[in-house]
Amino acid sequence: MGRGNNNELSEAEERAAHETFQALLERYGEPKTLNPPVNLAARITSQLPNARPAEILRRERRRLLGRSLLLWAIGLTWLVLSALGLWGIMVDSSLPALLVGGPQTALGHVVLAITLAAKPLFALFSSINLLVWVVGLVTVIALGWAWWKMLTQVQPMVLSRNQL
Amino acid sequence: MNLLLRAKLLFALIATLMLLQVETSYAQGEPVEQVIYVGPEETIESNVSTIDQPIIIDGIVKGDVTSWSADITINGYVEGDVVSYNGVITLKQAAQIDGNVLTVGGSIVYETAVPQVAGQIIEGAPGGSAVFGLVDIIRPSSANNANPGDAILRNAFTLAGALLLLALSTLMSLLWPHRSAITAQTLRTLPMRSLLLGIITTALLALLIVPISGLLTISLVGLPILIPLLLLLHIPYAYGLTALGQVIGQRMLPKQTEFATPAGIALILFPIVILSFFLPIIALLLFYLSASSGLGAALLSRLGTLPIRPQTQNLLKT
Repeated sequence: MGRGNNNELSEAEERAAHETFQALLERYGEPKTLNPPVNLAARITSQLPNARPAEILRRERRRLLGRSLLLWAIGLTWLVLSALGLWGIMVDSSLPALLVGGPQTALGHVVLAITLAAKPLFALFSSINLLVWVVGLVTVIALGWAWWKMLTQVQPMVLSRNQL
Repeated sequence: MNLLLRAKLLFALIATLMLLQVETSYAQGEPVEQVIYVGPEETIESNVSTIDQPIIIDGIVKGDVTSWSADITINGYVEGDVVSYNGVITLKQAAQIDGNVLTVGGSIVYETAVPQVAGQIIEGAPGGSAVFGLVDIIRPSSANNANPGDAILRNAFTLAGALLLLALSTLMSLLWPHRSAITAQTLRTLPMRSLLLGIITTALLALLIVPISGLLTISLVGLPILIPLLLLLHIPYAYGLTALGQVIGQRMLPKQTEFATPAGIALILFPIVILSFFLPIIALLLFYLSASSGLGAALLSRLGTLPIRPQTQNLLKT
């Protein structure tokens, strides 16, 4: 090795050294280096969007706006329905049915039946003492914290195994 | 003893226990219940509501009269609505109701030629009795269950539920064999942690059901989805039962892997079903406790996607 020629390795010597190095790495669990798939660069490039970054950003903003509008619409609908339901349960049970054609119509009949059916359930919830609600809330928070801790503490175990 | 003979003996045992339970409930007779009574001279300014106490109104109620599964008798004036999920509403001669009358799983008895009801009278709903009668599963001593027919029906319902659960859990182990194996492995590795996490999850769900049901109830549209939602909530427990069944089954039948899981699940469910004939609440608690351990393992293993092996713990300790 390095006979004359400024101590440089010949091509054959370099190849042999590389193979020995790879064999040693393989023995210690190092994955083999494989040649990349054919046309990898071309395939990845073809999957990239044609639009300009500004256009992509605009589309993404529009998508996010649409999603937040949908969420707001669902939330507002739920609030309106809840307000209507509360009015039906607590004040006038015929009102929600009247808004859909009156209790004589098929839909109104169903709405009135649902409003009336909600009454015993609502009576059950409203009979629960405020102190019980507060104790319940504190218990939920404490249990939720314990639940999250127990669930996430298992993560380092898995990570450690992978690292080892 | 061959398998057919064993099955016959098992069937005979279950049938005997069911009949014994019927006899016991009959022997106890109708329990003495406290009645909510509004006398002829009385005026109640608010609602009158109960879960299982019968209500008799001879006076005036300026609100609604509601009950979950008890009977309501009206022989006075009610300004609001009269609603009973699973009880009988009796309208007597002097009954006068300004609101509506609804019974979902029960019936309305008229002891007057022309009922004085200003609003609508809605009686019965398909499946209402089954849905709102669910409460009677855990209350075997209620007046509604005093006859043998109801007791047999309830026991048959429990048996059908157990068989459905057995089928569902077995199906889960067949559909996701790898995931259920990892969940079972997690349960073997971390049994106490799985049980504790499962119990905490169950307690949290039980606590959160109350406000969620309240929110669904007041939105009205949410009320019809409440019962399907509660049934869907039991799918994770069926999965938990699969994991526990696999652990027990593999210990019981280590060489017959294909029968191990169903056998393990059946072994868990059998004593629970038998216990439910006599002590339904204890049986229900036992079911949730058993399934919770598997549910905890399912959560720890992220539904069987993160394998946790005993070596991991040992390596961490060192």
